Amino acid sequence: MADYNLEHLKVLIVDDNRHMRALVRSILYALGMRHVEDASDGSEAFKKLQNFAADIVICDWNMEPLNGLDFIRLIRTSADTPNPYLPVIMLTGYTDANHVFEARDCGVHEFLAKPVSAEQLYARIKAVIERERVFVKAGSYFGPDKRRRDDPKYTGIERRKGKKKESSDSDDDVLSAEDTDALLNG
Amino acid sequence: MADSKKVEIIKPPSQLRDKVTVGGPNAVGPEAIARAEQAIADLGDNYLEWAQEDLVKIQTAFAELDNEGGEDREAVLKRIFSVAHDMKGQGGSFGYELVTSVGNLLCRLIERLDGSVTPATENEAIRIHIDAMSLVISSQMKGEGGPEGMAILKGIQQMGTKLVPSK
Repeated sequence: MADYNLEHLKVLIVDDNRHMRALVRSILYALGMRHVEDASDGSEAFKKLQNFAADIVICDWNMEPLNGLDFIRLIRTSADTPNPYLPVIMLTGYTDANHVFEARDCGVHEFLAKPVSAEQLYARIKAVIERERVFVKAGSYFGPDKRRRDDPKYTGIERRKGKKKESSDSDDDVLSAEDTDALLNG
Repeated sequence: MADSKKVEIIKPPSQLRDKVTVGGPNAVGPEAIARAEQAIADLGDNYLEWAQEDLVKIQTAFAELDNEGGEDREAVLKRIFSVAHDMKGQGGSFGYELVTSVGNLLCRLIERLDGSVTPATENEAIRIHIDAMSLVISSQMKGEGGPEGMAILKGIQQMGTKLVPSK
């Protein structure tokens, strides 16, 4: 896999814990990034985005007053959003399938479990660069295509290609153990 | 009805590939990763100080669990969970995997509190976890803590399940 020069990327770190912000910032600097800002909750982060054109957001879940999921919803759907397609890496201690599912449904690109390592964080940044995601607007969902790969064994409706195979409503609603693992481990 | 089924596919206008270059002296290779891991290790000198701050926060909150005139029990439990969650999320980054493991057990314990045991029993289960984290940090027990760490983890796991059984 390619080694990237990341110095022109702008990253916004959003975490209510100042030690975590310091930790992530140190990792990003060591990876050669120069344009790094941070915020302690979703509300402050959304304000920062008005003047800081971030290319990637690295976001915690549990924050007050505005948590990570509500912040992502603002990015995706607010009339004031500077970039509804902004890639988001969710960095959180919530690693059970239900939380991963909820984060995916909210429109995160990548999911990374705390505690974080430099190698894992770079792997997620690479994934955001390399897995170019189209966005899907369907019903109440607006966000990156939830399917992370083509599955040759899939027999449900190919909704996005208009090809009808067998009827199934479950493709977007059920996260398999494999999908959960893929989201957590890249 | 038809609109709710409508699926629109949108290609984002800009891609990150356009903003990065491949290779060159500043590209992220094994050396940069090693530098980043070293940056984490350097912060590790401060970690024990941060962990001590978190311990004070969690112990202060725990003391309030018995204070009938104080904050509502649910709110105090939420504060304890929040600090335990932070400690879980940080320990392993700095080589204190045992802090992450015990923090995780405490979070899972608080999640299963549903009033089926007395508040005193709940408190006892929480106290065991906080005391374990305190011991790990004060004795600077890095990694999984070896046989002693394994024994601590097994002990609090068993006590936690005995005091507040899983459903």
